[in-house]
Amino acid sequence: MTIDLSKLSQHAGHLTYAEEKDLLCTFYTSLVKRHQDIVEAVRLNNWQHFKALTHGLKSSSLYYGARPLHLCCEQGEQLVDTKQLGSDVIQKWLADFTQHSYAAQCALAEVIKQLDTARD
Amino acid sequence: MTEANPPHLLLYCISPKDDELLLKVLKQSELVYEVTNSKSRLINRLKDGINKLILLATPSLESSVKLYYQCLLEVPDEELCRHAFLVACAKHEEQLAFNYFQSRVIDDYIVARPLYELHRPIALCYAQLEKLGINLHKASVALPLQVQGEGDGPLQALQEGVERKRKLRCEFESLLEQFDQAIAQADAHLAKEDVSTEDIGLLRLLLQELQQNSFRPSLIRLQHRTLHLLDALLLKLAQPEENTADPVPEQQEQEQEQDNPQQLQVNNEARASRILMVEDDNLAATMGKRLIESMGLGFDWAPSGRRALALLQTKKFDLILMDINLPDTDGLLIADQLPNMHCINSDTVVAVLTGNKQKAMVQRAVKAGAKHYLIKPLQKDTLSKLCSKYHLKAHH
Repeated sequence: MTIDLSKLSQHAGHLTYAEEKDLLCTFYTSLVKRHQDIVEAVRLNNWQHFKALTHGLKSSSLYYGARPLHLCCEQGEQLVDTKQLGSDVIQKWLADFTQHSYAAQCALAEVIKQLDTARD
Repeated sequence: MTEANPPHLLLYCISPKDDELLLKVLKQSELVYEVTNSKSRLINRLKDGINKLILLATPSLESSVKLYYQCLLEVPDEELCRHAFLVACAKHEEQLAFNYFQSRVIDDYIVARPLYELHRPIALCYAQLEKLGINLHKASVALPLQVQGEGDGPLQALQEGVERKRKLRCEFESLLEQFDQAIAQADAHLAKEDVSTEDIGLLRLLLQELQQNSFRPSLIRLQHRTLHLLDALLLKLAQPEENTADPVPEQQEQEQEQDNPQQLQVNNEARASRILMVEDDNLAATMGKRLIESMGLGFDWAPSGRRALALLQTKKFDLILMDINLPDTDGLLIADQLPNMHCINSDTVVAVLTGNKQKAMVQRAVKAGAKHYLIKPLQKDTLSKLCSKYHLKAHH
């Protein structure tokens, strides 16, 4: 499952419809921005920043239950810890990350759309 | 209007008679200083944009520390001028002052009651001012001492050594100036909505350099400005339309709190327990706020170590949720020093909240005095358990 919102209230308490939609939009925006930052950190070989970004996304992806993205970020963090920073390894990781991140973005966008439709 | 001769030092002094000798020494020095006993003057001086020393000489060391951190809370990060916080203390308070210094609660201290070393306060002020980019030392090497024997060798080595150190210092200062100029330029472009890719590239490079430093107080202000600006810039570029319509969550929350004083009063009356969340990630802080407030508890947020220290000195909390990786320090250092700070929160329970699952980090947290080690993201069940364990009270 790309994302799982069944435990959202465990992280945010009871949510009204508007609050839930607002929160999902925040997740979406934050994920898009974090994705861009990670790509940029890889481009600049800034591994300290890369580690900080993947570390942050590793935790925040669990708010919306994006388990594959969480695991991918954990792997990214470990690549820095174990100094596996060869171009091939990083590019392969980046391809995986892009796939998981886009999947989560699409899933979030879909849920937001569904919420809008249900309300209409 | 800019001041013709801005002070190097603001001395907050309640009883000039107690610090008569210190005042006399300052008068004889080349330092430009201002003496006040007004709290509002102190707050204004903290945000006047002029680098300076703040020296507090109240009847006790603890009252000086408390007063400073109360004032600090009144000044937002982006308005805070670069400064060093010094205290004048009595001989019997020296141990406590040293503890404060080690914990970075103060930048330095002067044992002034009594004042044994007459020129020590001036030497200390010069050293602290230099860290702030103000150099009052003489430009040339004037040696009052005669170097004995062996001709000019030792004297030449000394002069060369001093010159070498001066050169290195100049390089560092010019680097700081470059940072400031680049930020100011991008800031101006942002205001005109004329941001170039060059601006972004330059800011990104600066940001990387700044993020490589762990805890350098002299760079914190610059770091804050860069992070703040870069956040605003990237958000604007990523989502220009949404950004105009919706402020970022952090701003939204602050505005809501200001706009809703009645709600705050209800919380106070009900005496709900308060939780301090020390967390630099906006999203994690937003989620934490939602969860904590939904459980009827009070919430405060510190996005940096410095802000956390200011809050811990002045506001009582019932639980501290502490992240480890902070932009200006390590959360475990704060947890470690908290009991030695002898402040209202020295006994408050610290629960580390982090995404780091490494065993070594858990051991470090235990050593630092943390009572719990929670893995992010924060969950309602976990928080409920903590609430019942420590009898935290919710308001309804």
